[in-house]
Amino acid sequence: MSLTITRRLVQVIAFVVMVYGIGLGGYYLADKFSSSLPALACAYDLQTADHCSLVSFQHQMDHRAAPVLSSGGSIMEAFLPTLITLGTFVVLLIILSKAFCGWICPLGFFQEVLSLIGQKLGLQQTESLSKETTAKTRPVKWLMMIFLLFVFPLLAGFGAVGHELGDPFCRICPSRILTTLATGDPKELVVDTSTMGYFMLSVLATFLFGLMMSIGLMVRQPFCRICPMLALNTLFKKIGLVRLVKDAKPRCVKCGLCAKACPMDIHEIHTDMENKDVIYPDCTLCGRCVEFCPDKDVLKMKYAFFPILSADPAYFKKRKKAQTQWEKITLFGSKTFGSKKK
Amino acid sequence: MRIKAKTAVLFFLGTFGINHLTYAELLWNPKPVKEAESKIKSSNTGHEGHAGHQQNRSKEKAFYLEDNQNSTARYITPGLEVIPLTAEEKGNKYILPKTGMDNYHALVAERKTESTHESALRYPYMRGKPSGHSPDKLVSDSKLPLEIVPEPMIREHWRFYSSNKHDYKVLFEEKPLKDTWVILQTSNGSKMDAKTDGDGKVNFTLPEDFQDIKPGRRANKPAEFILRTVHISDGITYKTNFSAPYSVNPSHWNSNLGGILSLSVGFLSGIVIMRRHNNKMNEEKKNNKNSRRAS
Repeated sequence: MSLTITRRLVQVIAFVVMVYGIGLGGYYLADKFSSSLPALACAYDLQTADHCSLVSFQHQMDHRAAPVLSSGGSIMEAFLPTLITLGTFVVLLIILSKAFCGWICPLGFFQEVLSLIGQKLGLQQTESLSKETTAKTRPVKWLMMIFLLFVFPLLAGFGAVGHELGDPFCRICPSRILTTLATGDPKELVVDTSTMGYFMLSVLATFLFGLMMSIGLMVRQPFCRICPMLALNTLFKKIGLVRLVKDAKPRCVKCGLCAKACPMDIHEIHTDMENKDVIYPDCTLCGRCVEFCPDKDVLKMKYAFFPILSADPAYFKKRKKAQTQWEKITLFGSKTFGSKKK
Repeated sequence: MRIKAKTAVLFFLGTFGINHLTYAELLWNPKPVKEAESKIKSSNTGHEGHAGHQQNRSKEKAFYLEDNQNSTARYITPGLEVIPLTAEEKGNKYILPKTGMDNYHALVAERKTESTHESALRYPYMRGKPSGHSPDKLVSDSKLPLEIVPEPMIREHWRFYSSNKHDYKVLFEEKPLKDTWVILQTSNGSKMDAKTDGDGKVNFTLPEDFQDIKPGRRANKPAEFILRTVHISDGITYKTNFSAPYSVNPSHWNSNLGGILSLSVGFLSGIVIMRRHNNKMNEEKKNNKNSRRAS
């Protein structure tokens, strides 16, 4: 079984647990499980078995850090809950590293499904975004993390900005709409007219969700590229047990199949000839680069010291053939809906 | 027979005068009677829920037990530790001890005579460190001979909302009580009743009975609802109630149609962006091909 099929199975199971978890383990499985998963498992979904740590960070800034600091409390007192959440987050990151994004996140899985739908509908797929486009989008996730997770919630807690900005990322996060809709609950697919702030945020959220859906049909993982979870995971990537290592060979310069296979368009994985550790900030540890590397042991995915998958010519041939056959299957043939001729 | 049973329940409840929310009846109230009566227009009832982010957390939390003569009260933690409660001297105010635990706790009051057993139940949400226990454990644990059990208790980040349907189970000595009338009354003046099914289950859609609704959750104070039931066994009349706050349904200021419209605009914008992008890419490919041919 290929790594991608294994990953798909894990994603489906994770999606069911994350989105419909209470049906599996009771109403408060989250209490037993963890309360701050490093993946977008939305707390607004009332059937979820867990929730994303991003909501905790925002609430802790707004409801804890700012009130404690403004009443003259110590920094330790203000940020202790944040440190506890961060501790849980880090423990889980040690276990799975950034693979939370590529293997667990319900929104990441949804975008992969969108991409599959787009391909099956015969829509023209953008294999790789240009270096210029990726260079422009990369800083966005860091800005999202700094401002939406920490700065605005803290300012809202101090009363410097409106309460609407107390949890600004959750307000615009597509996972909030996706996971609630997946449980048959349309309460988050709304425009909130209670205040101008909520109105703007709800319009932005629904617009962004629609935008992500249509772009996701033709470009791989559009929202992941700007997701603050990716940025947060990147901060602790060095301590994760899942590793992606490269032993560059001269042939790598001309090949570039790994970069083409990468859903996040990390061109460096192809061009970097020096670093052994190739978990780049945008990497979600999906392992496609290893699968599509045709040279023996050039790319390897490891769990601590144990190999998960190593690049192998035989595996590559089999995988490439399977991919080609899979891509040939479209619902309306290859020419419909403006698709390019294969 | 059906009419008789209902009449009996209404008679007993009527005896205890439930036409008013704060009548002489064992009942947990988040405000003293006078304030509760002037209610609801000005009260902040129901703020014990998780929603109380803006509350002063160091401030003590208290509840008022109406008609508390000869009654006993206890407080149960998420881990099922029972703490006896005593009212403040010459009063009916019960200050909840700090347990340091987050999540729902139970407030239980009982009064027994030879022929009656009265009880009141409520689940205040307390702030603290994660309790390590599922609220299901507390809610499903038998606390009273006759008990109204919310199925399930509303989850963190959620509330009882008007227009929302909720299920409850009536248990007598831990067994489902079928064909039993349950009466729902709200502090906004609504009243309705329903009968439990074979599994002791009953559901109510909380009435849409708020007046002068303003846009936004914070602009509307929650109201109270009370579920009551009566059961007679071995010559003893058991009466119990379950009370909780409920809020204005956000659908008053949230528009699904607007959401779908905005989503559609986003979707179409994405198509336009991708169309332009693909045209540009195809053009570039074509030019590259031509230049290669020319060279």
